[in-house]
Amino acid sequence: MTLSFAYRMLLIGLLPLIAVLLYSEGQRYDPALIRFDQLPSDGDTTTRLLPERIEGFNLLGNVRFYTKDNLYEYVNGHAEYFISAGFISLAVGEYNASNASSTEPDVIIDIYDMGKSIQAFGVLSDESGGSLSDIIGSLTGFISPAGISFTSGHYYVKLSAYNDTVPLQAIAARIAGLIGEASDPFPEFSRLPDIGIVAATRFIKEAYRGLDFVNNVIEREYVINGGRAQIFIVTKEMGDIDTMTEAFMKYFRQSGIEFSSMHRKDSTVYTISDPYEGDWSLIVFPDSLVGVFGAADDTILNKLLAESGP
Amino acid sequence: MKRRDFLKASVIAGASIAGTPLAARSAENEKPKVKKYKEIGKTGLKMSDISYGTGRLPSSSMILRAIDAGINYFDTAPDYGSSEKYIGQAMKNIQRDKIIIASKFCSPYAYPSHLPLGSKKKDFIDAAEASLSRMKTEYMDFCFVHAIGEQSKSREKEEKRLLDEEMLSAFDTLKQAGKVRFLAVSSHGPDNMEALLLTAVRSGHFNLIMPAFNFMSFPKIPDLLKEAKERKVGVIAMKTLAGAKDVDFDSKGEPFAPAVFKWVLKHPEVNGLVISIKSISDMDLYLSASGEKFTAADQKTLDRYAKRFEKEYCRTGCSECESSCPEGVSIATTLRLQMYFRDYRMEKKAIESYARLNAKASKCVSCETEDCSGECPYGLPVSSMLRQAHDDLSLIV
Repeated sequence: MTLSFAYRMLLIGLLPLIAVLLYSEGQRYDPALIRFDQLPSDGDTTTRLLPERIEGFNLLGNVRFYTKDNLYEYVNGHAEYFISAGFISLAVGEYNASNASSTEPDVIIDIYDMGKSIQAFGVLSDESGGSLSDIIGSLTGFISPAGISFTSGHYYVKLSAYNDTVPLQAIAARIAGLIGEASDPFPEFSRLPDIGIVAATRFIKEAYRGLDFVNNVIEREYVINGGRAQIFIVTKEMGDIDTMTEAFMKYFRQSGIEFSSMHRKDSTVYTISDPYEGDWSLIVFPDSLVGVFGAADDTILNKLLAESGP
Repeated sequence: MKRRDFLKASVIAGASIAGTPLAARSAENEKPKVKKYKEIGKTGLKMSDISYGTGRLPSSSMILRAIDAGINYFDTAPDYGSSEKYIGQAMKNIQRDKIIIASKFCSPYAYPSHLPLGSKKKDFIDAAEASLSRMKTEYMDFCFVHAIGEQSKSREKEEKRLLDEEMLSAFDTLKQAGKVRFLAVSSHGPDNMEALLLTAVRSGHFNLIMPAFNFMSFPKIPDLLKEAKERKVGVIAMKTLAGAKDVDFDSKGEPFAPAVFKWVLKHPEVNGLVISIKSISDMDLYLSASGEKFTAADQKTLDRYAKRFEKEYCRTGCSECESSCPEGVSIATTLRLQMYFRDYRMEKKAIESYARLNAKASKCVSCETEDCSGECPYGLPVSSMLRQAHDDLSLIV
């Protein structure tokens, strides 16, 4: 009886500890795509990005504004995806031609505030199926038969046209102009070196190049002296660097892939002789992994070591 | 200076060599490989029984891995993301005559991008030549008229697309130019799949058919397979995972996918199957079925899967309920896109394709008559599934 009482008291005493553990460890999320630490969206700001008139089209009614609480009313069935990707708010404007007699929209403009640039880019990359390019000036996005999608700072913008006469590119450029200079520059992008013409930038959510353990990767493809090089980066916010490095080593050994390594300050450079990828390099910084494939030489590696570390 | 010389030259001040070549090739030899090849109809081309559907191809290196594992047949299309481009990147490392490449008469836009009835001969030739350019090859072994039975519920209309003179003339021109070797046709329904493929087999124009084929549907398929074999038309199976409701499903340690593949490949008329492979672990798992016999344990695995998912899987190629909707909703296509969205995790492609579908399931939301209920021969709750599919696939309501 005494023992039982003591045991019960012990359990009761442990409850706060269990609660703390559940609070800190039980709420797992993908840190590459979700940041909960941002300020609430300023709805007025997002709404003001949709003008009364744009390139000969008039706003129909009012701009509609959505938050996490009512996003499902607009993005029915897909709201969870957006929220899990960091969604803050959405402003929607429907426009038709100034001379139109109908009240049906010719173009719908969705401006998603995704909180962080990387989160906006993650959505864009998912929606594109991986085919991103610079569509207007330096705006990264994709063009489909149904419209144009792009990111600017932490905004993901989707234009959907309902007739062929809508000047989507001009509208996209105007919206980008209204958003202005990206207030939240993509920090991961800034760590990718300026080594040539940027051909494409992709976000790969899982199994990069077929490797099951490499997820949440940003890859940029460059054209350098007529050749192509791809540089990928995984930051500590997107995945555990030590775990991924160990997984690479295990994969190299199990696959019989030869590699050598060299330490420099707080980074390690692996040179890999890969039968499928060719010769490539992996640089392990304390806070990121950077890989280099294709037409890149030691000059580029030096640049990476100098510029891409913490 | 090449990158391999980077370390030797120690060009970075302060660098120290800490490692040397560490690994030896051993484990690689233990990885599953293709064990069986079969001739495709009477083409003289022998394909690996487990072959690569490149709809989710992650890189050119995966093509090389697959070839190293013995896979020699690659099914691609212009609208399969960067698939053709990746094949093109791998091409410099490939002995072209050792692999078989199949693509589609198709544009690179989102599905459904297959050239419709009314397309001109030049459109077909341009589409095929654009594929060859992307893949950096002089020829493709097969060019498919893809997804027959999908663009119209009318069998007659789809037969016209199947036997379109413009397409056939384009194929002749491409063949004479050495750019396409054989003509093929595929179908996952939803309408008249077996009948249309049978027409293709009997027409004498096609060297290969690719039906959706798995253990959970298609009662008329055996007749089609039999006639294809008699006429020496090749058969490659797709959609073999029966909806891929749970790719990690296993039964008492027996993984689902290899059991499914062995079931498909036990049919002597089937030359091989194509399956989407997105990672090395997928490839290893799938290749474990190559050349293996279908066993009683495999059958138990399939039985358990069928029992678990029989009320959730809309059988690809079946269209029994299609005519029941007075509003003409594209039931089977909607539910197939839902399968891409939920089970294949191809959300973007599914949403885009649904947006372009004429008869969406939006009408199901307010439907009171629910005429489709009770029409599914497999007992699926069609109306509620359509409403859920519309929810999933609609970005703009």
